[in-house]
Amino acid sequence: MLSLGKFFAQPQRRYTLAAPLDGVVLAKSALPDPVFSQGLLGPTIGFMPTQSGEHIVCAPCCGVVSQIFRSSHALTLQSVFGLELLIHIGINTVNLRGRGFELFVHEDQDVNTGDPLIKFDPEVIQAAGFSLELPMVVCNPERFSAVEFTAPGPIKRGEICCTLQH
Amino acid sequence: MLEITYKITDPRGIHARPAGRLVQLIKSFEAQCLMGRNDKLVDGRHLLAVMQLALRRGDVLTLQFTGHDELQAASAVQQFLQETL
Repeated sequence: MLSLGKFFAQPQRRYTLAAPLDGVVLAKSALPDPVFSQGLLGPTIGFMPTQSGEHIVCAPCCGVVSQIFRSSHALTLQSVFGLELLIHIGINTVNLRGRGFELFVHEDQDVNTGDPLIKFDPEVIQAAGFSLELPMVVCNPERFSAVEFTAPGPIKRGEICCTLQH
Repeated sequence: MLEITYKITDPRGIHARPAGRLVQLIKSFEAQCLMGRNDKLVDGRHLLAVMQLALRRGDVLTLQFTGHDELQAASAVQQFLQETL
């Protein structure tokens, strides 16, 4: 017999995010900005991009581009499952005013996992004295029962870097 | 309800870091907070909504606090804005 409890039970759902680029997952404490290393904006994972290869940040999930910062160094995504995600390229790169960044998307654009979002030039960023760490922040963790990031170490674009449940 | 206004002076406007700090501060109080420019007000506890205001230098930010600790919240936020933005 189907019990009422089972009938009404909420199925637990699990979602994953794909790494936005090739690089190394950093320990959160290795991010050189307390806003990110202390997770003030929300649970945060940091990446250090590889030195060689293409420097293109790709969508970690399907959703819509909800905001592109005026200086093109960061954007937010609203995923199809209700996640609000901030991707920030480099530290203090707001000061570059768009130099070294090339957009592939516009606000309100639908994207699929793996779609290119922003290309960045590490040489421009580093020559200006900024570091390349790329923090990615779950901005609405209250919506999920668990947010877990992959342990520090090398990662390829598209590999799972975060698991969320609700 | 208690309303304060503040003119942004930082040439970078309110970008990710100050928006995060501001929302964090607002959340430390119980008072509800609506903030924005002109008549477009958003929930001051919602980070993405605050970032989407995309406030620039020269913009006049309005914040409305409602709750038993609205005075403390408004004072703390005003101090933060003056020191940071």
